[in-house]
Amino acid sequence: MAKAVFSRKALVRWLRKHGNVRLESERDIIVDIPQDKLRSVIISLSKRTDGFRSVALNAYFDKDGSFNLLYHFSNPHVMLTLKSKMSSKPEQLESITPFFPEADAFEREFSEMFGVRIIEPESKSEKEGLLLYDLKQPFHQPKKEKEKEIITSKSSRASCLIPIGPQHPALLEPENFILEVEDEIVLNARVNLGYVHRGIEKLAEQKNYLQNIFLIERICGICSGVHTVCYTQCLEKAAGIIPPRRAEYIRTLVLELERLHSHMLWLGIFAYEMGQDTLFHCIFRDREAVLDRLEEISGNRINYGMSTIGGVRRDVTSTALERIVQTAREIKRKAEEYLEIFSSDRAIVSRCENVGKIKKNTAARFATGPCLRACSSTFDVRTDGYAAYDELGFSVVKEDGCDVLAMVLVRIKEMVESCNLLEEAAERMPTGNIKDMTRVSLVLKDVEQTHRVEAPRGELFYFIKGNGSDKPHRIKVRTPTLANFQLLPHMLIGQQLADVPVIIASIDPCFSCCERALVKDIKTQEKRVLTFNDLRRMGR
Amino acid sequence: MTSVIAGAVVMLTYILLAVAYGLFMVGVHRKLVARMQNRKGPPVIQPFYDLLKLLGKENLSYRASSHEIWLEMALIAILLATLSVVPIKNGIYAPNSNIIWTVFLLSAAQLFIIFAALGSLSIFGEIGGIRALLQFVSYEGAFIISTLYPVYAVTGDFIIPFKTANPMLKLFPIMAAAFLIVMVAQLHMQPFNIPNAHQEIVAGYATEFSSIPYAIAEVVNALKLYTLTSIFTILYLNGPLSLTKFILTSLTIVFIISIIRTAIARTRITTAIKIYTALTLILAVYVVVRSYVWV
Repeated sequence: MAKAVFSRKALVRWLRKHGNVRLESERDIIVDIPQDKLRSVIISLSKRTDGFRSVALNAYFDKDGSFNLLYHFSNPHVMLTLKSKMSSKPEQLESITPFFPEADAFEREFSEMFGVRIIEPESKSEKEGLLLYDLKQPFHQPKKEKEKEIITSKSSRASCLIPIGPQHPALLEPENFILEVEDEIVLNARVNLGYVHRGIEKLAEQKNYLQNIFLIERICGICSGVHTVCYTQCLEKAAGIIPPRRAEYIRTLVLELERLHSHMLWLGIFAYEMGQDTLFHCIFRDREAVLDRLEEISGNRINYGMSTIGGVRRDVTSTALERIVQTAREIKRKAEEYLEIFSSDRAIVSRCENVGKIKKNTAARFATGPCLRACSSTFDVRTDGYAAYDELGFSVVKEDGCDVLAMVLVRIKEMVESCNLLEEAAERMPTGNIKDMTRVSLVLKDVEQTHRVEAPRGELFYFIKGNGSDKPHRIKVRTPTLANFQLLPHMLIGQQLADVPVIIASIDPCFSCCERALVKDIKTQEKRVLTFNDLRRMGR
Repeated sequence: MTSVIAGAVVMLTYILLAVAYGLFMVGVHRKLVARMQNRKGPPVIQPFYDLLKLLGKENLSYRASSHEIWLEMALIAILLATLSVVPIKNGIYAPNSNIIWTVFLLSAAQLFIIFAALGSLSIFGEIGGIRALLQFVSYEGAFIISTLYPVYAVTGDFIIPFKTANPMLKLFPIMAAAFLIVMVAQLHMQPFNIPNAHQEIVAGYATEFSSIPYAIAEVVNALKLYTLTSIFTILYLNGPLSLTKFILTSLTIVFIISIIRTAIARTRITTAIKIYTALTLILAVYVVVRSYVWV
């Protein structure tokens, strides 16, 4: 990906030939493309050397009922949106996975949400929905060469299906992994999502922009701050608000503290997944200091409610800053200890090294964030320079291992980098207002805006469309895990069953994405649907 | 007749005490691990609470599984484990007790618990059972050598001697170390808690156990801990010991196991098999050298 030579001018010139280019800002390009040309433009985009990857597939209806289809792409320099207006919702769409294989999850999510069938161009088969599709259907994931090899060479022997989840001690959230296992070797793997789908995108359309800040914050229980920062910055970009510098620095402080606590939480859980409980307890003990700092500046440990439109809601005192610097130094020392443990302890290294190996090409397509940087990429959205990152010096951490160990080392080194950033931000904290005080509510015109930030797990993408009222017309959130989870089948196949929890944990999954349960009686073959009240009665 | 009844009562009391002391050692182990991990940990008598609660629970099994087989297997396992305790009194082996008897009973008790797990028809139970079986096969050789050989080398028989001139720990330090390593696997403790690795296969062989079968599995585990520590003290530390000394040594062993558990991450089943095969080979070579070359 990095080898691509990107010229923004050349890209815009090329795009102008195909449609109406609307340059939104330095980082985003939105292009209107006629419906009949959309597919050919996507195909030729995949052939260009700009290094674009599919980020999301999105759509919204206009008031007159016309259907707007949006393909979002991104590369290390810009976000590109190809938009096509249609008179009505299409029955079916042709898949773009032959050109952008990472779009698979987004297309399946799209077909689930909008009821548009996605057809594979070659096999003419229809794609399954992403959420909770029938467990009995054959494996969905495309067969890779390695996988074919294993299956053809060993298929004569018996294999069994092992369900991991939705309720399983290794998983913190309800997800379901179906593993086809033979001799403790994973032959095939499938991820099944949708146990906690809460319809936040739809709910956000009923609330105004200020109320949405607190809704958006609850998308994730670990990286809540990064969601609000992305959302508010997206709105600020759309409305042309420039928040004061001090606010930007405070946002950076919160984001980096959050990255620290998220990575430490992950590291602890990772140690637990490989059966190293002691390390888990030690890391969680150390993490408390970070949470205390967050509580000190925001009053909360998890949902900080700091970022708001045009600034932040609370100021940081000088004593709090001093303590943050102190904590950063402490954690830096601890992170160096972890680094030594994870790179020298033989029992630990033997569980991580060469486990879940991925090819660099695969990672460059599917992975984001630390998973991508563990495969020799230097793509970090923070280099976009949002918040105060443009003024603070930081180096992007990368590793060349392409395995689980590399993912661990990347995250630990990022913790050190975060501590440096915290120290620097605290030192250079400017004085002044923390908020654009004049603004009380926000009315957004009929504009579209895309924005991305670097969440602890990778590239977090937002799309907001206003309609002239104080409520958004459409909000699209692409969390990094939706991209990263597509790595799992590639990583799991050919590995031992004992490594499955470690591999699943290595991508730092956060499936923030039910109201009934289906009970099947084996003897009578009778099916019935349990309501919430039934479940509650049974639970008593 | 009365002497038989009196003997039976004494025996029963002794077995109950053995179970209680085994559970107490499990409690101490849990507490120690918790303190090492910077946690408060459960009270030392938590295993007793757990056992009492399990006995009062409803026995759940799903319809496809053969529940009778489970219970039978579990009952046989507890019977065998109990019998393995019988020759030991206050850390003393009853006169003319055969060490082969104890080794056989311990191994058989382990096997029957695995059979019970395999009968549960749960995918996690089966994988856990098969893992336990693989591990059993790989460590059993080392276990047999490290228990039988010292006795045989000193006495020329398999009857445990009451007193030897030197404690066997001095004579066979390699055997003593091997015994401790095998003991960790026998008890399914970290780093060899592969058959019940909960992050991978839920509770492994114990996944479908509930109520009485689960209580039995817990008691068998406690009895195994008691018997293994007893064998170690008698065999290697020149038993019989006084009661205080026995308690001290057994708790020291629990302490060592706790340190191993806190310090090392879980291994994979393939690594565990390699370790135990290597250990068995080393012991076998040692025995051959010691018997034919050294002497």
